[in-house]
Amino acid sequence: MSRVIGIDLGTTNSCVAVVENGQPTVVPNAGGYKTTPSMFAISQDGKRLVGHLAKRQAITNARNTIYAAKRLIGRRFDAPEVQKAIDLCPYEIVRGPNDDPRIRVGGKTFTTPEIAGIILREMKKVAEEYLGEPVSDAVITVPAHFNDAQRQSTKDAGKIAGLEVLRIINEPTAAALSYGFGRKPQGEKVIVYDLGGGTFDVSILEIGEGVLEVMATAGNTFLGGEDFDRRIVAHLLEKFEEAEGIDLRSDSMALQRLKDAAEKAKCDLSARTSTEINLPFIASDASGPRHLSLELGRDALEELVGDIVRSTMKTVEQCLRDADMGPGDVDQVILVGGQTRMPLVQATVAEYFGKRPNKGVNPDEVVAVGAALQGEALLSDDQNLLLLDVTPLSLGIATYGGHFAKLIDRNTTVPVRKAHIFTTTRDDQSAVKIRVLQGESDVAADNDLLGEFILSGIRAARKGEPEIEVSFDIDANGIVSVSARDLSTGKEQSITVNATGTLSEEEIQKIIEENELYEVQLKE
Amino acid sequence: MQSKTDATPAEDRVPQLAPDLDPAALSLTPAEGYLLSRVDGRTPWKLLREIGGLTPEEVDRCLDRWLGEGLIRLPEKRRGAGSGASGDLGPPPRVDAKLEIPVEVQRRILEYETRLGSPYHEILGISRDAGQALIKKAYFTLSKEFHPDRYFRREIGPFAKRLERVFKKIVEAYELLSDPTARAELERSLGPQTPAAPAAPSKSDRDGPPRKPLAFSIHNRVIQQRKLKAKRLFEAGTAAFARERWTEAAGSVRLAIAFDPWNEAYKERFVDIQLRVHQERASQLVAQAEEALDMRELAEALRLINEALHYRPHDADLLHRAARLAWVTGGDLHKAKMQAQESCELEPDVGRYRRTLGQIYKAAGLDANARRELEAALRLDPNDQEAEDALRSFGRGILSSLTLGGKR
Repeated sequence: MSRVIGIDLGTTNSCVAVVENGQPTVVPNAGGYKTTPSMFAISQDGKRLVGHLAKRQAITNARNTIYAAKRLIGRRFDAPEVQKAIDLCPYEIVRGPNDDPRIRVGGKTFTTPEIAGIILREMKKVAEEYLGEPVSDAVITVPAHFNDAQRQSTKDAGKIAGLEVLRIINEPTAAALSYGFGRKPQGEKVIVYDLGGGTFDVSILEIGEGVLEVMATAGNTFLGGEDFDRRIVAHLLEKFEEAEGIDLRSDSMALQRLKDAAEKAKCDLSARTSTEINLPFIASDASGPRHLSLELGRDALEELVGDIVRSTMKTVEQCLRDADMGPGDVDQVILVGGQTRMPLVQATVAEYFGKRPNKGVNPDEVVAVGAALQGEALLSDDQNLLLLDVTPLSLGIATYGGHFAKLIDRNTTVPVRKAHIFTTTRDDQSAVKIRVLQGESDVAADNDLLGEFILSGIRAARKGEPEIEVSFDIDANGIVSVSARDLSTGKEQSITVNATGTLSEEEIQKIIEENELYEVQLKE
Repeated sequence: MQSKTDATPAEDRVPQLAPDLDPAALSLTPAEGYLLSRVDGRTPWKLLREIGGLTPEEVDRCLDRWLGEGLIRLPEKRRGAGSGASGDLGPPPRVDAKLEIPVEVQRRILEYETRLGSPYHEILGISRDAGQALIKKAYFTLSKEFHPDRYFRREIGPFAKRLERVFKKIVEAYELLSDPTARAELERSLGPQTPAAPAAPSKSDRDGPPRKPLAFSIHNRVIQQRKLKAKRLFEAGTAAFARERWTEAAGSVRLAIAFDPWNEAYKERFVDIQLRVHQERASQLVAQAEEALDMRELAEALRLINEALHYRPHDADLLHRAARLAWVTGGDLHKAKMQAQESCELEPDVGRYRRTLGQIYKAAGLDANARRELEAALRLDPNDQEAEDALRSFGRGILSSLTLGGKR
């Protein structure tokens, strides 16, 4: 059996793990680091750089260095998150032919699954170098609130990287798998608070008897550690403009330096109460070079980002509500994601639950470890770990008046089958259109359309008389099929909803071929 | 389309084979045998009439007779029993030693499959009055056996579909039995808890008046359930409150309000708790600030006081302390000024508040204001040496007097 790897494809950093002799191990990269920056760049002399190499030259080559592409993957160009990124990122984001965001660097345009694919390929390489053998199977994690298109695009990225993606699992779920490994908890209820670089998720799980049941999940697409950095950058920009009268907002190199400094200051302030930010020669004007130098206290940082931290607790509350629990019912609190190192985050969470978060897990590595454990559980013969995973978003159909009738609620264990009986709205209506939607809004138009089909040949009858059974099936791999059956005639129509990312199969194949060409070029 | 929740008429219901049925032991005509072979738990009564070999009337008679004899059963569609998974299950069931799934497991799956129409507690293998813990335990144990992931990438032929069908039913059973309202309704539909022989539903039963639409009654019950949940959370919150676990209490009561937004008592209690939480938090922070002051960690003390102000925003004493600390440590003077001003507005007759405001004005270069406040401070407390010193310093030094002149 070839090895399966677990990859945590993060907004800021990625991490890969394998299971060796039953023990999960985080694989260090060639530089000895256990995490690799999720960055890709084309250097001034046209070289492709990934990870630390890309990060190292980011300041001098900001316009051609891609970071946080995860915020774009699987989204439409017009999505608010993409528009926000356009305003903030130093690299160029353009509209692709499928209305998807693409990134132009070094004179070449990349799709977002391609960028993610390049990072995944790097993680694959890290694992292969460590294991000394080729790797093809992987379990990749995504934020719990990712929708179908984002998940499929991540799968496509895996394909581009030459990986067979066994499963896409949620990051907080992976963290809980890792927590549950080697423990024999009986009916322990665990909440995972996952504040990563660009995402925020909360999941509640129950662990017992070698089974891990996901009870509820909630998330916020608009929130992550980078928002903290951005607040600091904005603060620095303001202070600098106040002191020197120079606006650095249009200087991409200065912005990149500020971003780096902000991230570093934020990390420093997790351990200390005050830190200094020194950026010599950040700008210059007629009177000579200008330097930025100021002190940032933990209190000032907490004031800058306090509202973000407080807003995360709303998501926690929603998750508790979905799980039908109160804060006192939680046995363990697990913090995941680098941002949870911030004392304010820890204090806020601890205070809410009235207990200290579990210290036994490494917030940067726990997700990759969980992914590797799930891969191992799927492939190995002695399965002492079973994940009862859930659907991330509700599924249903559009009904009369533009309403959304949910058939499968979010957080339902898969595989699952749910059916409901619908009827016609007009006399002698002979056909109905079944529009399959995914989302949480009661208004059909606010949800994502996954597919549609028509059931015709309905027996002539007064409105409200025909009985049409619509059933949804989700298999263990998350593939959704929907069927509609006229119960009086037995006529049936069904579709398998093919999850579509932002790329077609042909486009993916083309990218794979191009990359292979590229690989050959490298070895010259 | 509209949702329709009326009970399904009998002819639309789906007959299925009794679990312990051995077709080989029956004596049937070929046509009857064919009909029985079509009773697969997925084909509705109405469709069975049209399969040929027998007239629709004969089919009705035949099925009625089998129902009476207990060969087949006719579960209510709404309960989901017998509706089965979509898709063809392939050739008739038999075990296959070549598959990558042990033969005994295959047998168990086949055996389980015949019982998919049984009451839910039987599917989970528990008694009708089993508690939640037992339900969950049974669900986890069965999941480990029947979850399709157990045979991920294994060659298990037609058993892939069967396994999925069985597991989906287990999930359905678990979900409904874990939901108190759904369970209560199931209980009602199962009748009194006496092990009676399965009586055949009489014709009149099936043709009886259609049930009241479920939508309304379910809605009411859901609300009742939410109220119950709210009550439970509120009680947990009250208990936490009694144990002085303010934050936990606040969280529980806030959730109670989410479940039952109509209950004003919850909201009132929440306001009380919130107040206590804030007071408590502020006191903690002030205590910490005092510790920090003892250690001469002025910046930390300032931070703590400022945080305490978040919870007790109009406390003149705290405002004054924050302003003074900011002034002493050379912190944010603008903020300090606002705080000092507010403290004086709240309590205009406290000399030291006026003195601090004066000192801050002075540090900000607003000398006229500074003079006014320092003088006020001295009026209120003639023994305030610090105010006197600050005031006196205006007279000295050419630079400050020049600035003073310039300002005027």
